[in-house]
Amino acid sequence: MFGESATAAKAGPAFSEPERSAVQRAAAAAGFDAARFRAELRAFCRDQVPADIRTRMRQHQYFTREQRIRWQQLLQTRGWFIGHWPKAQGGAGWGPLQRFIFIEELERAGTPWLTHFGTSFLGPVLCAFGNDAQRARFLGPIRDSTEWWCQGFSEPGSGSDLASLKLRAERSGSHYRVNGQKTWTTMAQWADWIFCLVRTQAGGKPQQGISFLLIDLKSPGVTVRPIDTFDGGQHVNEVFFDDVEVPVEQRVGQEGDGWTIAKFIVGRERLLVTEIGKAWHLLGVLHSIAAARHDSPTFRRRTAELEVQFHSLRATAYAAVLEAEAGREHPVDASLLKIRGSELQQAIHDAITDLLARDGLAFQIEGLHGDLDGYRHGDPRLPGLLHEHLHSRAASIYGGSNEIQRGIIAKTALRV
Amino acid sequence: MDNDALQLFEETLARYNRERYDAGQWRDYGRLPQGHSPERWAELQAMGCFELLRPEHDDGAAPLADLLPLYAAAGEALWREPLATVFAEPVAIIGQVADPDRRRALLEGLITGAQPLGYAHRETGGDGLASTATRCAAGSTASWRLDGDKAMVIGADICNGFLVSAINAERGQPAMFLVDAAAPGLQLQRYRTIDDGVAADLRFAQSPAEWLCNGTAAIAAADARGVILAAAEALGMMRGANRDSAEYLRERRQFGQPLLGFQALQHRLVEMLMRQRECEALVASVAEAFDHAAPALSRQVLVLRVQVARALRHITREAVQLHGGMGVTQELRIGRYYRRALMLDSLHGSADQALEALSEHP
Repeated sequence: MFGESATAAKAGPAFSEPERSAVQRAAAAAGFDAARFRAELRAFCRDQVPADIRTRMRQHQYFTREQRIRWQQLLQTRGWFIGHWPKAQGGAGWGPLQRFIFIEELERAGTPWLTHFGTSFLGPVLCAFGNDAQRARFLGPIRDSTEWWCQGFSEPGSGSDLASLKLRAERSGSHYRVNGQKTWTTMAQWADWIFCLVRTQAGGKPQQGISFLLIDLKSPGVTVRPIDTFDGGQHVNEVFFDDVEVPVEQRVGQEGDGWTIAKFIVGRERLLVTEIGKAWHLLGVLHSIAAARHDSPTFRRRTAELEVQFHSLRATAYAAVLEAEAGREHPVDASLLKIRGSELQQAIHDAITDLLARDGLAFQIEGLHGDLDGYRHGDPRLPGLLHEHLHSRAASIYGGSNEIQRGIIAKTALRV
Repeated sequence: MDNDALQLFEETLARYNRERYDAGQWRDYGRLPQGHSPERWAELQAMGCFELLRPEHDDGAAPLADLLPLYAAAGEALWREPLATVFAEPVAIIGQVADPDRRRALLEGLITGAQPLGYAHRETGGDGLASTATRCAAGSTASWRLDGDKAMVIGADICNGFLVSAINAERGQPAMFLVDAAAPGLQLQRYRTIDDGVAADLRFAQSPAEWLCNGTAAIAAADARGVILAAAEALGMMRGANRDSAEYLRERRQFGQPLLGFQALQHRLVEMLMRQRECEALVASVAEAFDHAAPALSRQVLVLRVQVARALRHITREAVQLHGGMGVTQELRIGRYYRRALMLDSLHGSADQALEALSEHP
């Protein structure tokens, strides 16, 4: 059922179609036709992806900054890139369901990952917490992908225990002076701006002294240093702040609102972290590789297991989205989607790597960024597939590790 | 059922469970000669539960989704009454009967409680059908005679008739037949099952039978319906086992603190809750697919079987472990959940079989 296409850009498996009636009903109540919207997205991903990007999708290569921006701008020609923003701010006012279908279909087609920091995180934050001047200054460039944002949350001493963060911002007149360090900052090497959780007040409950600052990465005193990760990629960074001056106007909300804003970000995106469309895409990849190789009853059984996991997770994700659409929230959902989404992604990557076996051991990482000049060993997708496998190990770590997520469920559902 | 009606229904069922199905009552009902309580069975009907089977339009079917709360309540309190003889497979078989008058009459027999029916399809030793049906000319109307054995028919005691699958000796195709419970040549052998229920094996020897419909589609529909309702029942068991386990860990103190204070135990309970939630979502979505005759329903049913069987086994196993020694006593319902899980796991074919079927056609 997943096996028809490596890029999964063709029509999807029969399993999910027609659109579930519960989804159709909720969509109709929200003012859109779910099946038609999905079909429109599929057609767009099939016909409108520029050739160079499509080639990289097929080869599982890494997209350049310029390609990502171009793709985002292309989506915005339909108003989709900021479809989830309020109409007053130029968005389409999508609810959680429409947004979920949008992201699911993009992921399923294997199109470039949207850099969520601007459109999904900061945009909605500015709409909800920002002032008019901030909205006027920052929303346009996010919409047009002309300014690239990254997120400054984690610090060397503050990972799972984020509220203990120490990046200091001291008020002096019309400025803050920022000193300290952020780390694990995704794509900071490509970013123009960073939004940061900073400590504006020591003492008291750690959550209380945190504020939310927008910082121009070109400011004097900012240093971005890449962290090499074991997948051969360079997508996370350390960001150092040495007496960086940040105008007070670049604080969103009041001093001390930082934690509330951080929770707002996590809450809004809690349904998307499961990346169900990506799992769908990867299952297509798995089946396309299996079709071309000798597979065994044992292996087919393993793919059947993955299918069960996939459909259970997808049903749960939609149940959670329908709850959100109705303004409710099940206490287990958000963390469950994160835990199971990462587990599934990792399990599929394990299966792909095991299927490739000896043929999958060459790691010509240069092939991630374009065609190899010299000799290429094996399938052109190899560097990308191995890179993605290794990267998937981080999926159960970033954004609140799976252990932290289990702790959250224990708190919300068991009230411990 | 809209949201308000659903909520009301669930509250009614919860009250029913509190007042009619505590641990002592459960034990008492099991000691009755029928193995269940005829009084409770009548009360369910008086509450209007059987009316959930009445279709809105004459040629339609009542939504299966409306039965999920009923089955979940049954699972949570471990009802002994044979719901399947009214709500599960018979409805699907009857739906395949071509003659509208006969169809209506049979369905009415379920709804009024006048004619509950046993689903007699499976045979011992695998999935093959060995039972045969032979057409006999008797006077002016042709009639059928059945020969063969059927295994583990649930609720056989209260059934007025049995829906029996058999190979049509003339065409070589399976068909569904109705056999009266008092038919000549029919023998019942009762026995206790692992979940402390009652089942029976049937033997037919030239037993007169009424031809109802072709078998293949009817059996598929009946099995799908049976699997989905069993999954809803399993969901109720998961809720009960999870709730009991959380409460037990909260109350039980060792090393100077409640067991729930230990992170290792918290995380095990969290895993149980997650599996329950996944099953909730999947059951609802597959029931929806059933009600809308979705094209890939049979595959969804296989997925459901695997997911629910594994989750139920995991949860009931963990619940026993988390209850310590109390988990293996007859006193708590945790042990009963475990035994009922063994039953549900295999009644519609094992998870392994379902996985096998999924992997044959990727």
